Amino acid sequence: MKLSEFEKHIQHSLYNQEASLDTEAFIQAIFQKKEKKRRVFPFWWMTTGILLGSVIMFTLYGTGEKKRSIKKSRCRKIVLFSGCRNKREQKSGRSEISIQKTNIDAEEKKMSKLPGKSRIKMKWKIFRICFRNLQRQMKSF
Amino acid sequence: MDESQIIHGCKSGDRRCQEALVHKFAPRLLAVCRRYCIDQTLAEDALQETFMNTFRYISSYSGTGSFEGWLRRIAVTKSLEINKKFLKINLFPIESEINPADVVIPDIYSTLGEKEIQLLLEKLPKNQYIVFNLFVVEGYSHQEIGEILSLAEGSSRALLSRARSSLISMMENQYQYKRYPLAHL
Repeated sequence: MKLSEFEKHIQHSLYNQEASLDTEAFIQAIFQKKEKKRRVFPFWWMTTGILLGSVIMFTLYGTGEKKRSIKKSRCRKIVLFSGCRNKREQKSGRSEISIQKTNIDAEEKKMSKLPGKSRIKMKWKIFRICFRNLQRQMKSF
Repeated sequence: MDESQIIHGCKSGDRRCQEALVHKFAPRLLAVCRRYCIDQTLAEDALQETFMNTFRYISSYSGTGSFEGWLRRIAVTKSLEINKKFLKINLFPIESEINPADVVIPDIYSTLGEKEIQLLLEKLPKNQYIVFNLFVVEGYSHQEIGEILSLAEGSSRALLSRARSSLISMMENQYQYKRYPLAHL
């Protein structure tokens, strides 16, 4: 027998070969898988949704925090080292430290109520106080 | 239900027709998957994927070629896809191509049954076995095999030739052993 004939024999016997299979169980498995794939919200959609939601939440929360911090920063703390000449004196606590809180918002409100000239005077006053404080602190360091 | 009704029903998403399709073709397609997969569970997975893809893309079936051939093509592609990591195709240069019309093999092999043939073919190296099956059993051309396995046409020819020579030498050895059982000692 020639090899070509043998190959035809192989094709004839293997092409129509059938394997035993529990068709009912197989059908159930196929349709279960299909239904799983047809979920209204697939897994990756859910994941994306959760991620997006959390990003939006954190962004909103973050902006809120920022607003609060802006408000806080507007309330300035002025630390005055009265009577201290150098750093040592500051650390030793001999000199008195007074903490002065100034609410810029309140000052601005006050300033807005004042007439033009006195508003400029007030500004100069604040500037001078700040400059003196800065000079004192520079000397002490 | 005849084939055209099943196809039409499947195109419109009728579940009864889909079940009928599975009933009709599953045993044959499982045999196809089994030939290209290393074990039964992988073959069943490939078969499941085959039907899933069939239901999804049945609308693209134009009806020109044989429907079974179309299904078999999906089954072969899916099986090979699943077994990709086990399928390492090694290529060696071939000295000369074997012409199957020139080679004579013992007549005893014409009486072999399905199981014996399957066992004989499974002894071939995996890559040769796959190309031999695709060419001889499925009837694909070397160009088609090249497309399925991402190979050059020449590589497919080389593998088929190697498969044929391995098969011939295996059959010769077996035949000698059957005729002279003690000759190998």
